[in-house]
Parts: sequence; structure tokens; C-alpha cells
Amino acid sequence: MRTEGKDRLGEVLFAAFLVAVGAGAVLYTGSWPVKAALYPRVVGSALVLASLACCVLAALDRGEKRAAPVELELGSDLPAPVVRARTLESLGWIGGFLVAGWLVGLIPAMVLLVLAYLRWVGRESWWFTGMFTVGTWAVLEGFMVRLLHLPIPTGVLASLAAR
Amino acid sequence: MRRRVLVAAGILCVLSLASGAGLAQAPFAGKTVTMLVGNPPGGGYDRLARVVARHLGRHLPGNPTVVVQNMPGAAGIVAANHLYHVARPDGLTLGLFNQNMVFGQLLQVEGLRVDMRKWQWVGSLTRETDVFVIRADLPYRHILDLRRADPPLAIGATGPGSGSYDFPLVLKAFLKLNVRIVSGYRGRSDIMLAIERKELDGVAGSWSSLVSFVRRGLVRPLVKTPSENPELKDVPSDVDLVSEPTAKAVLQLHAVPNRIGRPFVLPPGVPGELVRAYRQAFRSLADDPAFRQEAERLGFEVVYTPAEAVLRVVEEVLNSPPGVVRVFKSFFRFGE
Amino acid sequence: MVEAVLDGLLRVLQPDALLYMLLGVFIGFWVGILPGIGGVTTLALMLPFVYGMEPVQAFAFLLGMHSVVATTGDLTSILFGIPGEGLSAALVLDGHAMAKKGEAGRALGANLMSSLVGALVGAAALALAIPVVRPLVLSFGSPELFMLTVMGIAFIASLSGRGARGLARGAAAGALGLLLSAVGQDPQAGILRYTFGQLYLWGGIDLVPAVVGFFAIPEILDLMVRRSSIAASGPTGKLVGVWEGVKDCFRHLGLTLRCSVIGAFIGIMPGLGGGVAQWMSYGHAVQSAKTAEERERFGKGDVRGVLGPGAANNSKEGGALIPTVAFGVPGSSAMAVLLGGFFLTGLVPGPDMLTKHLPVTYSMVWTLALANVVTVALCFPLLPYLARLTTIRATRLAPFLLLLVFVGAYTANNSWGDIVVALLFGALGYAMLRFRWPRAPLVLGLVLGDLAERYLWISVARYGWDWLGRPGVVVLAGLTLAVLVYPFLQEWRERRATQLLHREVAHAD
Repeated sequence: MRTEGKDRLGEVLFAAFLVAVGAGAVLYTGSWPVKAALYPRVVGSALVLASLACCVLAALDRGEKRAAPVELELGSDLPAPVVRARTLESLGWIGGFLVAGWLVGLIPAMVLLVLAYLRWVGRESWWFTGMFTVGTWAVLEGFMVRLLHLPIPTGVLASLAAR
Repeated sequence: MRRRVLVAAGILCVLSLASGAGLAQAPFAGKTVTMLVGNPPGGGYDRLARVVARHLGRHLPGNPTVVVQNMPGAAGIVAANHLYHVARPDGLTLGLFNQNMVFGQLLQVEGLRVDMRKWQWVGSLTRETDVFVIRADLPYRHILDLRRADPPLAIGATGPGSGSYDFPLVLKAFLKLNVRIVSGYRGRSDIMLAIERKELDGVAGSWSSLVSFVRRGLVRPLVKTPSENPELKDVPSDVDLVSEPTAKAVLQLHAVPNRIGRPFVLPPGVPGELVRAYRQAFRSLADDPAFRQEAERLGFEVVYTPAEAVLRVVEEVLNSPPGVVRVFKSFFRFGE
Repeated sequence: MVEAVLDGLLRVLQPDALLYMLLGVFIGFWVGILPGIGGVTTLALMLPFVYGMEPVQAFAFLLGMHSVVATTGDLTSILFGIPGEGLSAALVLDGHAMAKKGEAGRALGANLMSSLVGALVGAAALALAIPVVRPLVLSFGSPELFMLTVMGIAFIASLSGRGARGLARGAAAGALGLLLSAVGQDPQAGILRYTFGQLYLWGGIDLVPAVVGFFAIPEILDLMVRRSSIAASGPTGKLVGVWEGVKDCFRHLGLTLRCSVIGAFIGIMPGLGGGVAQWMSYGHAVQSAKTAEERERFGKGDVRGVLGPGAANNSKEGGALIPTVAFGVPGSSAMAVLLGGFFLTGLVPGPDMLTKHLPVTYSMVWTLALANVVTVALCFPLLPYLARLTTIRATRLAPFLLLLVFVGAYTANNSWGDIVVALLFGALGYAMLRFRWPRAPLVLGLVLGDLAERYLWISVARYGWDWLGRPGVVVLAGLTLAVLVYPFLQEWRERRATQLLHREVAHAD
């Protein structure tokens, strides 16, 4: 069974990247004493060889016996452009959440995420969204911070303001 | 209507003034103090932090809750950097780090962005001693017997930079012991098990971490860093075993942080009255019988060292003569 | 000895000990499920409370809490694909795949049952091993531990795909994992390897955020893209039931028991650590497939991939207690905290625990067993409701899953570095899933590589090259070879069988 063109290219590039990683790792051990360098050299070389094999096999598209994937695939019956658009959008959400967390602290970022995501992506009613937002905040602030004193970052802006 | 509002406002003003005045008298009332520990849960530092945390609240004005937070990483450097630069200097965060961190500064370890002299030291509650022990069933009774050890003893270590590696290394060099250092074990536990298995013959470490094994009869201490601990009075101290002045100075330098014990610090910038409150609290905590009993059960030697003394020790280390530092550097590194 | 066993049981059945145990179970239940609160940290938090308690009560509380965490931590692995309690990632491979096929109830039931079996086997191992524990633990030296880790690495062959391409992918993934485990300060010369000036990487790549990001982030991303629900890939409508899972456990009882034994054994060896047990038993479960066709079903929702790690995760806790009690040497980081419990109650772990205080030791065994039975009894009615979580719309779940992942990653070490690691490994995991590269070999390499390297150098430093001739080493080397060769052997046999079949058919014409 032939693999999809784009996936093939992706795999070739990925394998090539790993070849570079392995080679780089081996070269990087240049000045280290033997005891520190032996293991990375052996393993790095193995990585180079194995990735090279993957790269070549992917490029030639050979050797895929009964090409069954090893794990349950990322499923989707949606058309490719939709998948791509949604993937980018989701990455945006995750990235945005983390940046917000870094700036204003994870708890406010979380509350914002729940509010925004449920309302705009989930298209839930205001009532539902509100309830969950308040509930999330209560659990995070009340339970994790007040009761358990878990270390949850409060954001860069807050510490700048305090100085 | 307006009168009622005025009365309400008046009451509010009075209340806030009163609570403000109250705050001045009990600065920690209703607050939570965070004790930042640069080690993962389960180890000696963590255990000490938690027993202190349990009892410290009682001795601080306002009786706050004291909570422990672990921030492991780079032998305590990550936590130290955080406390120094990132944490708010409002007196609600207290730090407990690796007592050897002053060596990190002496050896100019990359990544350490802290000047140990600028900490507002609170003090120390325990004193440490390093010991070198061998398996009890081996025939060697005195440390110098190991000069003629045959076959050479296998001493277990985790890696360069840890006490289990550096201390035996310097002992081997200065006392000409016939031992081999086998490095790579993941931690004290693995080393002790290897000793049980007779794969290893000895190990070096802090007394508080080895005391249970000594008391059990698995290992016997052969040499210690200078200490007044009565349990170790028959064990020779390493400084007494060398005569050459630089060697003596290097060993003394190595033992210096043990006089600090496990030090507690506040970041620079914390208001003086809060620092004083902490110092006073530690002083009274050291005499607290409930605390003493619990700490001693966990193997700690409770000895109070005031902040000024700790700072003196830090200065002493950082002002060491360069000749001594050079030899010191050839044996000791800073690490986990 | 029998009196000690019964004495231990009676002590546990005292009302106050039982009460403490139930309290511990209750706390442990939530610790396992919620992010950010690790089992080890919670143990450390609870430790001061046992000061002054009777030993039996103290350990009823602590062990009650600890033994439950392993069981409930598995729940998030199966339901959401987020490895719970750090390292139970092996469960995610097949457990979450089953959830995606609509079989969440079955997976949960199978896991719960196998956890119970594992816990009981672990407790039994602890009880039975007590007379022989010293020679048992002491016969495994660093050379033998090295061979064990090599054997674990050899499982990579079975966990790779089929055919030349599958094997190449598996080998590359494994090599990458092995290389990544070299990051950090090297234990021989103290060199900072591949840290690029980052303080965070001094101690190497932290396994927990790496594994969590590696498995969970691609799944969450997928969920956010599909916007259906977790169980959408299965036949619509009915959720396969919990009882099916319980029956599965007994259908494959031999496998479950064997994996329990593997887990207990690895738990007893303190030098190996938590992740090893479940991956070794997963590898063993994969190899128990009778044909190469069957082997292919793993990773896509084969219940045996749930039974194995589920059992091992619990039995290893009983095993880890053994060196802790018998030698005062903790078998895991949780045990290191538990040691404090010994000191606080005035006990000295070591030979005394096996002689003078034998009933206390046996009371710990009983606590392990009872706490798990109680947990299973309490969890069972909840399972169908938990299974239904997989039918919730993805858009409602996604923010909370992100919370579980990232808050969990951060609070583990109070560090943003962990979040970065989780993200990077998430990206890697996503790429590997897209290109059909097996992920298990990478985790295996990551977990075992550092251990293998350490034990190799220790063995050479201590014994020169003599250790290669030790009987334990030779036996393990043979087993390793068997593990490595087995998948090829299987395939070769099958090919021969089909060839013969074709020839017969051709002749028959």
C-alpha cells in the first residue's frame, strides 16, 4: 500500500531531521572523556543508521508490509483543509493559553480559556459557560491554592508590579 | 439617608484603621508563609523543612500557616535564583537550600545568579557532619589501615560534585588510602543496598543520612569532619590526620558549611522588622521541646546558629586564599 | 510465622486502624485523579500527622493512601489519554485506544480488576518473600541489573511495527529515546551533556512532563480538531460494559498473574524505578500474542495491553515495600517518604522488622491488600459513569484536559521548563503518530537508557570484565536474546506455515 504523498514527504523530512540530530549528538561529544562520551556515541550512531534507513525506505516507499499503523491513528473523516484549519486554530488556543498563563498567571488564564473556548468554539449558552467558568475558578483558587497551597504561577506581570 | 451612609463610611474607616493597627502588631496574622526547598520531597532537606514548618508557625507573631513547596533543580540553584530574583520580598517566602551553595559561588558555577552575602540570613537549626563509613564486617578499624587495604576498597558514589564522590577523592589523595571510587549509583539508597550486597565496601555522606545504618550495625564510621557530636567522639577527624598546611586548609574549607547546617534565608529587600521576627522565631523554635523531640527522632542534631554567625561563615569561605581555593577546586565540584 | 500473619491481620482490623486506612483511601483516591497533586508530595504532606501514632495506624493511613493512588491514576490514562501518576503511560496505548472505540467501560473494568489482582499478588509477594528477602535482593548486583535493562530495551523489537520499515522506525524511535536519556550531568565525569547552558536540564529530561506531553497532547489536539467526542471512533450508541472488562481479566488470568509477578519482582529491585515495571509487562503482554497478526492489534485497543500494565502498576508497590522494610533502603521515591514514617513512629527499618516487629510488617501487607479491595469496591459503581465521560462533546472537555496536562506538568517541580518539555514532546508525539512511527520504543529508551549506562559503568569499574561470566548475567543475556529474536521467529514460522499451505493447495489442484 502506498502512503499518501504529503505524509511521505513529511516522513522523509522527519527522518532526515533525526539523522542530523544523531550526527550532531555524536559530533558534540568531541572533547569529552571516554566515560562520558561512549554511550552517546553508540546510541547517536544507532540513531543515524536507523533514521537513515527510515529516510531511504520512506523516499522509495518500499518495505511497508501490510502497512498497518502501530497505534490507533489520529482519526478523521473530515476533509483535509478543514483538518488543517482546525489544527492551526487549536494550536492557537493552546499557545494563547500558555502565553496568557505566563503573563497573568495560570489561574486567570484557565478561567479565560474556559470562558472563551466554551462560548466561542463550543457555542454553549451563556448560562452554561458562566457556570463552568465560576466552577473552574472555585476549584482552582479554593481547592488548589487556598487549601493545598500548590505552586501555581501567578504571572510575570504580577511579579514585575511587585518590585 | 445621607446620615446613615456617613455612619457606615465612618465605621468602615475605623475598622480599616483598626485592622491596619492590628496588622502592625501581628504581621503574619491570617497569612501563609511558603518555605521554598531546593530539593525534591523525601530527602533529608525536605524532611527537615517539613518538621520546621510544622512548628514554626507557633513562634511567629500572628501564627501563620507555614507550607512547604519543593522546587528541585540544579542542586538548589534553581530555587535560589527564584527566591533571589523572582519571589516577592514581602517576607512570606522563606528559603532552605543546599548548604554547599556557598561553594557554588566560590567555584563560580555557571548559572548561579545569587550573591550569598546579600541574603538576609535567618539562621540554622541543625548542624551537619560528614562521615566516611565502611562495612562493619571488614577488618579495618582505623582509617589509616586503609592505606594497606588489599584488595582496594570499592567506595560508592553518585557522581562528581556530590559529597559521596568528592570527599572520598580528597581523603584518598591526602591520606594515601587504597580505595577505588565506583561512581554512577542513582542515590544513597542504591549505594546502601550495594553495600549490603557486598558489591561496595564503603560510602561517604552526611551523618544524618547514614546514622540509621550505623546504629543498625551495617557500617562503621572511620573518619569525620570536625564535630562535637557525642556519638562520634571516638572517630578521628580528617583535619587532625593531615599535617601539611594546604591540605589542612582544604579540609577545613570543605567542612565549613557543616557549621552552617541547613540554613534558612530571606531574599534581599524584605523589611527589617520581618527579618527580625523570623530570627527571633527561629531562636525560640530551637528551644521548643516538641520540635526538638520530633527533629531528633528524624536523626537531626538540633543546634541553633544565629544569622550573624552564618554570615561570618559565608564570608570566611568566600575570602579563602587563592592557593587553597586552587587545590580545593581540583577535588571538589558543585553538583547534586 | 503464621501467628505473626494473623496478629498482623488483627491489628489492621482494629477500628482506629481501619478508620485511618479509609481516610487514607479517600485522600489517595482524589490524589490519583487530580492533576498537580502527586502521590509522593502528598505522602510528604501527610507524614507529619503520623507523629505519635502507633505504627500500625500510621502505616494503615500512609499505605492506604499510597496504594490507591496507583489505581485511580490509571483512570485518566484510559479515559483521556493523559498518563496519570506520572509514569503509567503504557496504559495509555491500549487503554485510551479502547476508550476511543467506545470500550471505555471495558477498559476501566479490566484495569480495575487487574489492579486488584496485581495488588494482591504484590501483597502476597511481600508476605512470602519475607523469609527469603535478603538473599533474593542481594543476589541481584549491578551486572544483573544492567542485563535487565538491556532486556527491557530488547522489547523494542516487539513493539516496533512489522516489516523492514516498521522495524527501522521502531529502532530509530528507540535510539532517539536512548539518546535523550543522556541529557544531563553525566555520572562518571560530571560533564553536563547536551544541556546547552540550561540549568533546568542539569538533572536530565524529567520523565513525567515528557511522557504526559508525548501521549496526551496529540490526543487533545486530535480531539479539538475532530470536535466529536472521545468515543467517536467506535460503533455508535452502545458503550461496551464494565463487566466485559472484568471477565477479560479472568479470561487472560495467566497473563495478568504473570505481569503481576513481573511488576512485583521489578518493584523489589530498587535500582530500576517505576516506569520499568509497566513497560516490561506491556512488552510481555505484546509478546504473549500467538501470531504476528495478533501482535498488530496491540496499540489499537487490545484489552491485554490494559491488563498487563494495570496489574504491574499495583504489584510493584508491594514489591517496593520489601527493600524499604527489610533494608531501610527505599524501593521508590514514595518509599523514601515512607521511611520518614518509620522514624516518626520510632521504628527502625531493617532486620528488626523481619524479626521483632514481624506482626507490624504483616499488618502492612494486610493494609495493602485491604486498601485495594476497598478501593475496587468503591470504584466499581462509579465506572459506568466515568465511562460516559468519553461521550461528552470534545469542546466541553478540551479546556479541562489542557488544565490536567499543563497544571500537572507545572506543579510537579514548580517549573515552566516542564511545560516547555511537555510541549516539545507533544510536538514529537504528534509527528510520530502522523508518520506512523511507534511511540512505545521511544519511551522505553528514555526510561531505560540512563539506567543501562549507569549499571554498565558501575559493573566495569567494580568487576573489570569478570562480570560477564556471572551466572545471573548469562541467564539474563539468554533471555534478552530470546526477547529480541522472538518476533522474527514468530513471523518466520508463520511465513513457513502459509508457504506450506499454498503448496498443499497447489498440489491439491
